Amino acid sequence: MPDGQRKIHNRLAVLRAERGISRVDLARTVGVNYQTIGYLERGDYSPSLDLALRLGEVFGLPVEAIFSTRPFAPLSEQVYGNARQEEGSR
Amino acid sequence: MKPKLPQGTRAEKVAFARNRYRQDQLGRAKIKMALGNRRWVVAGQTVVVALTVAAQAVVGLRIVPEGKALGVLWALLGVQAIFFVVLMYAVGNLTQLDWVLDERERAQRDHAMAIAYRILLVVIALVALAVGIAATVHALPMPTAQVGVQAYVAELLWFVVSLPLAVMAWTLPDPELDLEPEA
Repeated sequence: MPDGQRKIHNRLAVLRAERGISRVDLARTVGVNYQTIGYLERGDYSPSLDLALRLGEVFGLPVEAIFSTRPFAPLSEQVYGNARQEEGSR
Repeated sequence: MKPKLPQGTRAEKVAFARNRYRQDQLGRAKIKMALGNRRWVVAGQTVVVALTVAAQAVVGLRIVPEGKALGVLWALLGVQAIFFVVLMYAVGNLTQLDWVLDERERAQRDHAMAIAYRILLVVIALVALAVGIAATVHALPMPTAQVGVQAYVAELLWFVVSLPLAVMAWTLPDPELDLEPEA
């Protein structure tokens, strides 16, 4: 990633694993090289808006559910954290 | 099933062929050599370029018999051609046309080109400065391009064409993590 550019965090690896999609398959679906998916997952490359929207379409999620300028909390923490909070409020 | 060539217009056929080629390229690694090996190639090429420039100065200044010096010069240019082929193998796929590359690859190529031509600008400025100082302040004899002018042109071409490749080979990270696509 070029110096001075803000890092974009993403959930691509989690979403891909969750749905059992390989890098090659995802790459072919959105029309990029499979190594680009690796770059995106490692945060070494920030996608264009066009590519981000295409990825959103593939996963059926809004762009902000996949990409964020702040690090994502682990899904387990989000799911169980919310459950605990709900139990505590009862 | 193998897709069939459409029976439409020439433009449709070209678009179909391009799309097939592009789809094929999406599953292939564009960088084919480990970073360490690529850097050895770039270092070797830089040494050969320096030797070639030195040989050109020797030829231009007529320090040694013209025939022998030109023989060495062309041999060095041949070695540079070998380095160029190795660099093309290592990262050459990133220099393909826009429609073959994806946005990340185009960004990497454009970034390498920008760095390469900044380096070229600095090299040209330094050479011009050195020649200017040598000619005016020290009144040193100047090499003449009348001897072996084709070698000068060939050297310039190799340098300009291979510089972006060398920058890509030197800077792009190791693709090992992605070399084996997941099943």
